[in-house]
Amino acid sequence: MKSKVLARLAVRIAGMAVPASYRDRFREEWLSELWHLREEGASKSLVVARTLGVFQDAVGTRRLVRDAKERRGSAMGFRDVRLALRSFVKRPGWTFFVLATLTVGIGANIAIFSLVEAVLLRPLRYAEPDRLAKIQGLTLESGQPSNISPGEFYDFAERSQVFASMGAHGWVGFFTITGDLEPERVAGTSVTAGFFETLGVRPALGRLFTEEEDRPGAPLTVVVTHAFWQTRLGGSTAVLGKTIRVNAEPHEIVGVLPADFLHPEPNPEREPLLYTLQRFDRADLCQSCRFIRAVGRLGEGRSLEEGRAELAAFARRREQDDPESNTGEGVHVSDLKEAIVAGSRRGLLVLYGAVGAVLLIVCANLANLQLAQGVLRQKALAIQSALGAGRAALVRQLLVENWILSMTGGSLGLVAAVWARGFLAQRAIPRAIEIDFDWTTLAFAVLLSSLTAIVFGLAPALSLASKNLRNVLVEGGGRGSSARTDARRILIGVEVALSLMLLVAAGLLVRSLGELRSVTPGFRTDRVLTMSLSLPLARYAEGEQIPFYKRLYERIQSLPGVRAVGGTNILPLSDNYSNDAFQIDARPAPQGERPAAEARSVSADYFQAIGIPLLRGRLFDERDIAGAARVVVISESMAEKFWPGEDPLGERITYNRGIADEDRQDVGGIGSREIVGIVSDVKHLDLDEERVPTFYTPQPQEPSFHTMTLVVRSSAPTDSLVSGISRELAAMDREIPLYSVRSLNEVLEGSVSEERFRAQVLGLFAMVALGLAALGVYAVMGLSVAQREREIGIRMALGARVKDVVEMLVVESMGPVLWGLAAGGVGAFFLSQALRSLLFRIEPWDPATFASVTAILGTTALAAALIPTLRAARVDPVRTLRGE
Amino acid sequence: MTRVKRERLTYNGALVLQALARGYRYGFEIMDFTALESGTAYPMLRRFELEKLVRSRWEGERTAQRDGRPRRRYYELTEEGRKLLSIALERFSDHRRVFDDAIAEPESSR
Repeated sequence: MKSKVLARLAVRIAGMAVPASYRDRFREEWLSELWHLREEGASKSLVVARTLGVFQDAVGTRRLVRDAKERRGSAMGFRDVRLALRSFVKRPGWTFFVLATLTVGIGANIAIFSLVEAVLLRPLRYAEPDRLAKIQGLTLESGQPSNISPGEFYDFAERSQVFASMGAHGWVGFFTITGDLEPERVAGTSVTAGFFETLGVRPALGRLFTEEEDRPGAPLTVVVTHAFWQTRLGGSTAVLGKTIRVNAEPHEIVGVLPADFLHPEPNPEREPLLYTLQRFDRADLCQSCRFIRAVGRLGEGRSLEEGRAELAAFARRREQDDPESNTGEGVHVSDLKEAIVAGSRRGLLVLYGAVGAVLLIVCANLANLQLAQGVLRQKALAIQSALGAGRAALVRQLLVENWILSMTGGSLGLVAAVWARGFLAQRAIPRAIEIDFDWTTLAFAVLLSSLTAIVFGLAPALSLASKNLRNVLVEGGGRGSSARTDARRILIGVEVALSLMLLVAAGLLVRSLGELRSVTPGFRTDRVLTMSLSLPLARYAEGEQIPFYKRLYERIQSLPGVRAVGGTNILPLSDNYSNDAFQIDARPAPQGERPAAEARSVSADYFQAIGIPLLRGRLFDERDIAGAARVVVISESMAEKFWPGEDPLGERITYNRGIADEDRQDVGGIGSREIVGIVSDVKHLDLDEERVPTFYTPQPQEPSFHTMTLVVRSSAPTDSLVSGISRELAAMDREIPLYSVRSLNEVLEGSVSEERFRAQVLGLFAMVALGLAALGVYAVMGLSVAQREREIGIRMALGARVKDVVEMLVVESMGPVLWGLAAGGVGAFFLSQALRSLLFRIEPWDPATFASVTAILGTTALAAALIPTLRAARVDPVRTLRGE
Repeated sequence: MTRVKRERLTYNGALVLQALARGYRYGFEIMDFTALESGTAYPMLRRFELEKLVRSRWEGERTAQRDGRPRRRYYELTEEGRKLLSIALERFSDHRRVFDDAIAEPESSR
C-alpha cells in the first residue's frame, strides 16, 4: 500500500514537469503501468527502479514536446537551410559564380518584365481606360492617320451618340513663362475644356477647365502639372488664384494635376508641364486647318466599332456638305492604349524573348555546373545516404540549396533591375516612364526565382540522389555516369543553340542600326548647333519678328568660329512636319486633287548652315525680301515627282500660306511663286523614310514667324558657342530664353533612340549569352578532362602524342557545339522572320550576320574547349598513373 | 524528415523496435523484453511516436473494466518503423554474428 501511495505521488510530481498537453496521458499511462507491475508481482526493487524512471521520462518528454513545437515553427526544414549555408561557405567561388549568373539572368528578366508590364500590360492611368479612344484624321488616299480640324472636332463631339465626351489637344510645344518666375521655356500644350473630363482626371488641387473659359475673350486660365507645381511654385496651396505670364499674357492658375498624370500622346522629347485652353471661336471654326487630335470616352456599353462607324459616317456627310474642306479626309478611331503602345510592342516582345533565352542559358549552365559539381559532391552525399538519409531527403536538401541560391540571385537581380530603371524608363518608348517596381514586380521576381530553382536544379538533384550512390563509396567516386555525361552534352547543345539565336537577333539589329546611321540625312551634321527661340506675339507684332531674327543672325555671325547662321520653322528629324497643298500654275488641279508637299520657311543662309547642297539654280539671297517677287526652292524629289523629264526652274507654283484671305487666288495672284533653285532631299521624320518632296520659302516673305530654330555651323567645337549666342540674344531681349539646344548630331541620334535602345539591350544580352555558353563549354570540358586524366595518362604512356590526345578530346567536345550551332541556325532563321519589321535595309536571313556570329560562337566554344584540354595534355603521364 | 532516420538508430532503439515487432505491446512488457530501464525506454517510445516510427492508442474502457484493471496504452510499429528496423537489423547483423559465435563456441567445446 505504501509503495502504491509513493508511486502515485511520484507520478503526480513528475507529471508537473510534463507540458500540459501531454500531462494527462503521461500520468494515466504511468499509473496503469505501475499497477500492472505490482499486480504481476514484481519484486519491490524492480518496482522502485521502474518508478524512478518516471522522472527521467518526464524530463525527456518535456524536451521532446518542446523540440517538436520548435520544428513545426520553421516550415522549411531549418536543418536543410543550415546544411545549404554550410555548403555555400565551403565553396565560395562556386557560390559567387552561381549567384552572379543568376543575378544577371533573373535581373534582366525582372527589368524587361517591368518594362513590358508598364508599357503593354498595365491599364492606362485614367478612369475606366477601356472606354477611351484616340480620334485622328485619316488621309484617305494614303491611308495615313493625320489630324482633324476644330470644325470637325466640335461637329463630332456635339453630334456623337456613341461617345459620352471628347476632348482635343494640339502639339506639345513650348510656352515662355515670365512674371514672378524666372523667365523660362517650358513644355506646354493647349487643350479643349472637355480634355481632362474625357480622360476622367481629378485635380490634385483646385479645379480643371470649364466650358465657359474655353472661348475667346474669357479670362485666361492655366492648369499646371504636379511637377511644375512642386519645382516652380514651391508646392504651396496658395498658388491657386495667382497669376503667371504664359507667352507674355497673364494666366490665372486654377488647378494642379495629379502627380501620376501623363499626356495621352507620349512625346519622345518632352512631357507638357502647362496646359492652357484652345479657346476656339465656336461661331467661326476653321473647317480645313487640321492640326489637333482628340480623345473620346465611349458611352456606357458602347463599343469602339460603333464609335468608328459613327464618326466615319459623320466624315462622309461632311465631305458631301462641304467638299472644299473635307474631300479625301476621313477619320481614324483607335483604342487609346493601343494607339500609344502598338509601335513598341514587337520590339518589346523581342527583348522579352531575349531575356527569356538568357535565363534559359543561365539555367542550362547552372544545371551543367551542378552536374559537374555533383561528381565531386557524390561522395559526401553517399555518406549521408549511408547514414540513413532517404533519397527524398537528399533531393529536398539540394532543392533547398538551389532555392536559396535562386532567391538570393533573384533579390540581387531585383536590386539590379531597380538600379537599371533610369536606363529603361526612356522617353523613346511610350509609357516606359511609368515603370514602377510594385507588388506585381515582386510577385514576378519570387515566382521566376522559384521556377528558375526548379528548372536548373531538379534534373541535377534527381540524378545526384539516384540509387547507385552506394556504389560511389565502393568505387571511390570520381567518375560521372554516362547518362549524366549525355545530359551535360545536351545542355551544352541547348546553350549554344540559344546563344546563336540571340547573337543573330542582336547582330541583325546592330547591323540595321548601322545601316540606319549610315543613311545620309541630306545635310552635314558635324559641328552644327541648333536651338529654338520664340517671340511672344504680345510684344513682337507681325512685322517686327523677321527684322529681329535678321539682327540676331548678324550678331551670331560675328561670333568667333561661326561660319554660317540660318533659321527654319521646322528642323529635320525633330518630330514635326507640315504637309501643305499647292497648285502648279501651268496645270491647275481640281478641288481635292491638289498636289501636296512638305513646306518649310527658311532664312537665306539656312542651306549653307545645315549643309543642304544646291543642285541647280540659286539659293535665297538679298533679293528675296518682303515685297519682292515671291520665289521658292524645291527639293530634287519634288522636281522629279511633279516635273518628270522637264526643267522646273522658272515654273511657278501657288502657295497661299501667310497671305491674307482677301488677297488669295486659287492659282496665280500674290501667292504665285517662281521656282529658282533645286536642292537635294533631306530626311524629315525618320531616317528610314522614302524621299519626301519638299519646297522652301524665304523667311522675309513670311509675315509672321513666331517660333524659330537656329542652325549655326562653326569651325570650332559647338559647346563653346552656346554661351556666346545666349549673350547676344540677351543683349537684344532679356526675356527670351533659348531652348532645345542640341548639336545636329544629337538631333540625328535622337531620331534613332528607340532602335539604338533595342540594339544596345539585345547586344548586351547576346554578349552575356556568349560568355555563359563559353563558360559552359569550358566547365564541362574541364571536368570531362579531369575525369579522364587516367585514361589520358595511359594513352600517353602508350605513345600517344599531345596532339593526338588534344585532337581526340576537342573533336569529342565539339560534337554538341556543332549540333547546337545547327539547331540554333534553324531557330535563328525563324526568329529573324519575326524581326523583319524592325530591320532597315537588312534581310532577316542576312548571310553576313549569320556567318559572322556562327564563326564567333564556334571559335569561342573551341577556345573554351582547348584551354582545359591543353592543360590536361601537358600533365606528366607517370605522375597521373602513380597518383591513382 | 526525422532525426532518427538521419542519424544512426542506436542499438537500444533497435531493441525497442524489435520488441514491438515481436508483439510486445505496452510499456513494461517492452522493458521486460529489452531489459531497458523505464527511464530509458519510455522517452524512446515517446520520441519514436513523435517521429511516426511507432503509434499508440488506449485500449477500450470496457475491456479494462471487464478485467478489473486500468486501461493499457498499446504501442505498435508503423510502416516507417518497420522499414527502419529492417535497415538496422541488417546493419547490426555483424553484432549478431558476434553473439552467434559466442553462443556457438561453448557448445562446440562441450
